[in-house]
Amino acid sequence: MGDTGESIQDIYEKYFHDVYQYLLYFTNSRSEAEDLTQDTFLKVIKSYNSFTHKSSLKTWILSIASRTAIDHYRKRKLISILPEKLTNLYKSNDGNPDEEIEHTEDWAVLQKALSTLKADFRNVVILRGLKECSIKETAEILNWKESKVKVDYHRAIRQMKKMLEKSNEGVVVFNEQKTR
Amino acid sequence: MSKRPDNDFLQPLKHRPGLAPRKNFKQELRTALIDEADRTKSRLPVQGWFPNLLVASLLIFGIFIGSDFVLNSSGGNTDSPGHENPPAVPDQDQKDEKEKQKFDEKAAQQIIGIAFAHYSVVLNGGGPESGKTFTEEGEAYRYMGEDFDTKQEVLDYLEEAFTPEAALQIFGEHPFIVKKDKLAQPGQRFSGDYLWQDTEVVSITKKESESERIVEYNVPIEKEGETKSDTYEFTLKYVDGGWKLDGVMPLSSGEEEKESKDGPQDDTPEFMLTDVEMVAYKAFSNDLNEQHLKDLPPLSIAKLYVQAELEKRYDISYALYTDREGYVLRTKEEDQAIPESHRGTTEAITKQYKGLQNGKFIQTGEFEGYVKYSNANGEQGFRMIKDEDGIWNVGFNPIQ
Repeated sequence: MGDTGESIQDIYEKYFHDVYQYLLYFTNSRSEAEDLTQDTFLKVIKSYNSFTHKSSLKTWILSIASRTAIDHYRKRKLISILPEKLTNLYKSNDGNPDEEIEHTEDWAVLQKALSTLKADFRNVVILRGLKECSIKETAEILNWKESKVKVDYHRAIRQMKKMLEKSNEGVVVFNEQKTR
Repeated sequence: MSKRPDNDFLQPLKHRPGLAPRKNFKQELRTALIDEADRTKSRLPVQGWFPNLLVASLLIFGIFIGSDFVLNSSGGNTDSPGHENPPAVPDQDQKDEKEKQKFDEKAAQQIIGIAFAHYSVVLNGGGPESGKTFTEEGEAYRYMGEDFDTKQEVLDYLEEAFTPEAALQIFGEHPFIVKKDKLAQPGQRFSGDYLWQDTEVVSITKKESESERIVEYNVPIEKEGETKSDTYEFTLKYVDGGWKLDGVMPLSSGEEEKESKDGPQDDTPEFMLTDVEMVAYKAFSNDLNEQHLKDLPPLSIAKLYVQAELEKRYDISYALYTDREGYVLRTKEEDQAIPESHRGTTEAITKQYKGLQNGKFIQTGEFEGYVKYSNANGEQGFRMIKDEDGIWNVGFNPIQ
């Protein structure tokens, strides 16, 4: 389906999961991902007529999601480098508690390492490594040069791996969690 | 995009729990967006979401909702999506009020835990990939991680969890230096017996302002296999869209921490020169030639001064003062004229400089700095000046 002539419903159905998942990875919080997904699509509606079709609709929408996440990050200024115990404290506001997250799983260690990265690194890992966007797409979404995507991705991955190595050695990363 | 080998380790994260949204969320948001699209008369087509009858009615009134027509040209056009403030989303003030009202024990626990994590990150080099190490004035330093090249970057990061005042306090209390335009800190690792991520909230007291709470925390202390606890009170303030800690928590067991917690009981070891310092002192006392000092760090030179004062070798202590132009406060003759009664007893000198040997040198300028140390008198600073010959000397009236 082309980028033009799509209805809101089409766009929503097509990109909802990309946006939501990107924001879940970014915030590591279901309730925050929900809030930011809403903000993102509201902005899509309001600014659709500024979309020039120079990029794909997907990269345009994810660029809005990215800016929304960064704005949120700057406003709330809460990086999710929370101790595992604290991460569990995040609950949705609808009265249905989020699923308790089993933090002994590999994914949880990886998510923690991801959440510890600075925002730029986190973005590039989510888009390139997890959402499997191309270098060109990632550059469009983040409004970076392709060379920066390559360099930052490499550095971010290296940083994550180092964190994981330290975790595996039983060394407390950042003293967030005391070894018992 | 093709998979690359270095991505493989991310595989578990690609299947993490929670990637599927909450059951009702997608539907709820869809409904909200339909309303919003209608209300704001977006240029995005919404046909298909409305009952045909409604669409027909709108067409009768000559209103066509489609991508080529805008019902109201002033409604919703922006240059940048980031500038929008959609009416369906509560404005920032409302969000702030909601956040303030929502403050509870769990929020208080989260905030202290986040603040502790941020504090730990900064104290331990700024990340798992802190920079290379180097030696400066005899002390091992490490560059901060690449996210923390400047003071501002450190403050920005700390202000994610602390008030600006508390962030400045943390920065000011730790001996950062700038080398090659990059921020560095002593190469020490801080660990903590205080488990700030496991606190219990004892009480929350609302202050006069809705934006301030006093929280009493019970923090577990894990030491040598035993777990105790202690109670601390902090002020939390709502600043820049979030609750922040307006204070700095102790870590308890790090070396720095011990120094700062000496307090009234004052179990600081007695003043003593090291073997290297003693050799340098003896050589310097013989001929007062500063070349004997050239390899000593500022802290050692400060100690030589104290040793000279204790021995009442005022010729040596004067020779250890700076001779940098503009920093000399009295001549040698004037110094010699100071009566013994004004110089302080051995007991007073011992008390004054107790803890100096455990101090840390903090360079505050190109040729200025001070040794920060603590004793029963509280936190002390011993002023040092680097002379034109590159050798650190003692500033006049060293204790400021």
